[in-house]
Amino acid sequence: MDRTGINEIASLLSAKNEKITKEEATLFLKEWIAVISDTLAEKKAVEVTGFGTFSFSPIRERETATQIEAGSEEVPYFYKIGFTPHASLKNSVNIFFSNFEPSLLSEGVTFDAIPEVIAGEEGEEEYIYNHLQKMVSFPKPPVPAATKEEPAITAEETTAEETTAEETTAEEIAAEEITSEEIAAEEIAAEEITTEEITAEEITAEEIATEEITAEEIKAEEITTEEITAEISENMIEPEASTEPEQAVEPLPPLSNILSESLQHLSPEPQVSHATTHRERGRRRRRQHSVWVPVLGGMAIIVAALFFFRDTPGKSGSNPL
Amino acid sequence: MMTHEELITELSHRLNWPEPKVAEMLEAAVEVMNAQLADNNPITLANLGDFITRRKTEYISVHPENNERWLIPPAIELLFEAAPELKEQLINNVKV
Repeated sequence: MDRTGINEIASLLSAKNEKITKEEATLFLKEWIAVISDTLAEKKAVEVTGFGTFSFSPIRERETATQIEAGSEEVPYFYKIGFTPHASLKNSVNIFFSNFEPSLLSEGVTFDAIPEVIAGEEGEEEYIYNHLQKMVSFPKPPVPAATKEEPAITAEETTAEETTAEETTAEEIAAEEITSEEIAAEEIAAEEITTEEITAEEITAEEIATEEITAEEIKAEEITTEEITAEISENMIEPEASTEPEQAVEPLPPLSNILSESLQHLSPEPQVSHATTHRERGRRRRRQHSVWVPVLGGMAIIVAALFFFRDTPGKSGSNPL
Repeated sequence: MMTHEELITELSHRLNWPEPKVAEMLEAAVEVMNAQLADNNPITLANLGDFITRRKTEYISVHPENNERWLIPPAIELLFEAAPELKEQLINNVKV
């Protein structure tokens, strides 16, 4: 199929309008094309009413940004030349299929000859043809001035030295960045380790302290009970000595045995484990306190009975009631 | 973006023609090119590119989320392929 060129369009223009000559039409079309190309070079779009919109826009900017961050000497910039036809032109071109509409297919309906495409992935081939790539080199770093003792360096040697200097500087920069990143990562890891160790140490210290406190409390309670039993035993010894041998009184069991028997039902020393909580320790203390209360009460009753029923030399015939 | 009116003004300045004449010429050129493309005749403009028509076959579009399947009918689409001269001019003159 022969393609229509500028000459054919100019002929058609002059045939359509008698006022327009073929030379004027040709000149007009060439200037029209020049204006479009110059405007696109400034990265501006051009709108032609009834025909369409020409555009020249950058694409793949992320890929360009990664190249810049990597410190490349030459960075590629990607552009796309686009043309969006006007709606009237699009409809006039597709006039044979303009009445066709997309239809929803039921499940199970298949067509072997018709391909299936995931929505959004169609129509990417034609744009690749109009993709452009421009390599932009960054300005070279300043080269130190040559000394007076070496005036015979040629231009080629200077360029070679500049390229090697650029390469070494780029490598050094990259190496410094890598080392700085590694150092930062190591510092962060070290800080995390130290914080974890500190927290672990604090936890163990707290547990040890609580264990010591509970052990001390238990010891203190044991001491008090021992003191009480000692006092009671002393009181028991005096009335035994003062009683008359004529009366065969059944000796009362020593309070220590009574206490030991009453204390037998108590659980052995609690084995403090690392997993005990404050609540469990409190419950244990409350249980110990609750057991001691009746014991001490009984001891007090016994002491009071001994006090009232024993005969003192200075108080004969005294009636406590 | 350069609008239609700004395009007419720029052409009038370059050609040293009055703006009504430029507007009339541009409208006539657009009508001629649209008629050619509607007849499926491709157009080649030197230093600009090719305007070609292509028949797009029917296909089944599958929605990725709800798996709905739509039968998309065939269509004739208009494509633009830029000329190598235009590509070279744009790459050389574009400011990054």
